Amino acid sequence: MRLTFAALSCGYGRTPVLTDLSFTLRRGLWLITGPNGSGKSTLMRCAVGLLPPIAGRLLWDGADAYRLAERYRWHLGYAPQETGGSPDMPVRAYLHYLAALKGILPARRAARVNEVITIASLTEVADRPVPDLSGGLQQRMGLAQALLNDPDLLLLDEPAVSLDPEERVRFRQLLLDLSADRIVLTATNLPDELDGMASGIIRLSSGRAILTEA
Amino acid sequence: MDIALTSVTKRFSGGVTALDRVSFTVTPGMFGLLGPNGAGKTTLMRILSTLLEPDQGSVAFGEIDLREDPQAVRRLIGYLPQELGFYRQLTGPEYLDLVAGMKGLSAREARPETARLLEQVNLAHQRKKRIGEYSGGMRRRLGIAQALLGDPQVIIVDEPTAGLDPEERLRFRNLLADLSAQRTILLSTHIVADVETTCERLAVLNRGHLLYAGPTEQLLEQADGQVWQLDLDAREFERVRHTLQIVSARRSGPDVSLRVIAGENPFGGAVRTEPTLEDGYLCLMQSAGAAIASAQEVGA
Repeated sequence: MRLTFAALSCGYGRTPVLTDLSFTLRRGLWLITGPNGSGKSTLMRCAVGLLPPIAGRLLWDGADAYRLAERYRWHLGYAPQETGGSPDMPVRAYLHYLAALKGILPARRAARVNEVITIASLTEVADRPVPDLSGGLQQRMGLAQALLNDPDLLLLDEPAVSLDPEERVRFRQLLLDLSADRIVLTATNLPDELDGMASGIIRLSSGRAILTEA
Repeated sequence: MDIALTSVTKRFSGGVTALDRVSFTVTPGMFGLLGPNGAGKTTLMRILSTLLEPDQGSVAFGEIDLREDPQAVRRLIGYLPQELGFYRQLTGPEYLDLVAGMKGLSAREARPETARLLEQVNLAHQRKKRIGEYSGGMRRRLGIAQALLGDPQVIIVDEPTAGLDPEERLRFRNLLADLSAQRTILLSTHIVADVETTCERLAVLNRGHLLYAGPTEQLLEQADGQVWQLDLDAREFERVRHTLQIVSARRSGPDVSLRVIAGENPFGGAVRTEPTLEDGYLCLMQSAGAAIASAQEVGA
């Protein structure tokens, strides 16, 4: 598994927010950091397949991700910063529904939903309606849905923002686990919490990205 | 100014006890407030901000009793909630004029003060911009400016750094530190490192109970002799990871370096290391969790 930004520029309309990104990410934990407005979310949206490059290419194992389209997205899990409207459904039922949307075969759905509930430590609240969950639990819910297809590439936008101190410690361990056998790319405003674990840090500033590998 | 809480209790309908006989004193300077989600921190801050009344117990701001004279308390405090509803159509100065009016300041009093505050929070050059076009950091700073209107002696700040980038967070921390020289600032946050670097004293709440109130240094001591540094190869790490309480870990080549909390030297090969506030907090929460578990066993 290999995600390559090949001389990639991305942004909205014809104005690039980020110009000429060139680096390759392999298995491990990668952080994106930079001032607000520097393009963290833009970079995430481009990597997720929601924002086609203005120039250059995004490559998954050497093939153009935007041409692979569905076949790229199958490798991908994404937890955005805000999950948007949460339906009035219990956690487990909602994850079932999302698993169906993601195309997970009916025979595997129940087992996989149970697995992600365990991984994201949602067992105790699995039967509670999603809107009743606290901010920290909603965030774990976002992570659980991103893991449904056991993705090779996991994209997380500010995943720890509502977590309390103990949850943050557990979350760090979970990231260490998850990044052992996949690419985890995380946008964060608190890079010092994670930099010891990271394979590299992508710093954004003035439209450019600089990758420092550990 | 000291804020003395005595046996403060708050129950919500549905039988939830958000605060259960909480007593401690918030002392001048920066005072931290830590605890898990649902611990009662926001309820406590809303009580101190006169937005909620306690069911039992008392709160005294210096000589002033909160129940007897909430209006006097309102003149003493500035509150920065987690989320502040803004009028997107207003500019910064317009918004501050509005808040000044609500705080009972006359337009003549308010003018020079709003100008000075906008300067202080570094928004003076953006006076024509509407709040709808503000970044998250600018909103946070405008929030602080409104909390500072009327020169309050006490400032209550709930989770101030969410959404701030590292530079904004540092600036915000320095601003609070400056302000705390002559004031009492109560800072509630999930970022333990922020409390460690700015607060001399702190309180920890859990499930409505006070677990700790005192010097920051002393909470670190909770973890004295229990924090270990340990290197394992990847295979060994996978085998033993679930038996350890890991605070942090980093992979370096084939090895994993761990920071672990344990009563005794795990596997004999670890090196004892200095605790941080996070370690102290984790040890405190752990012993509280153990106490709750054994109480439940006794009850069952």
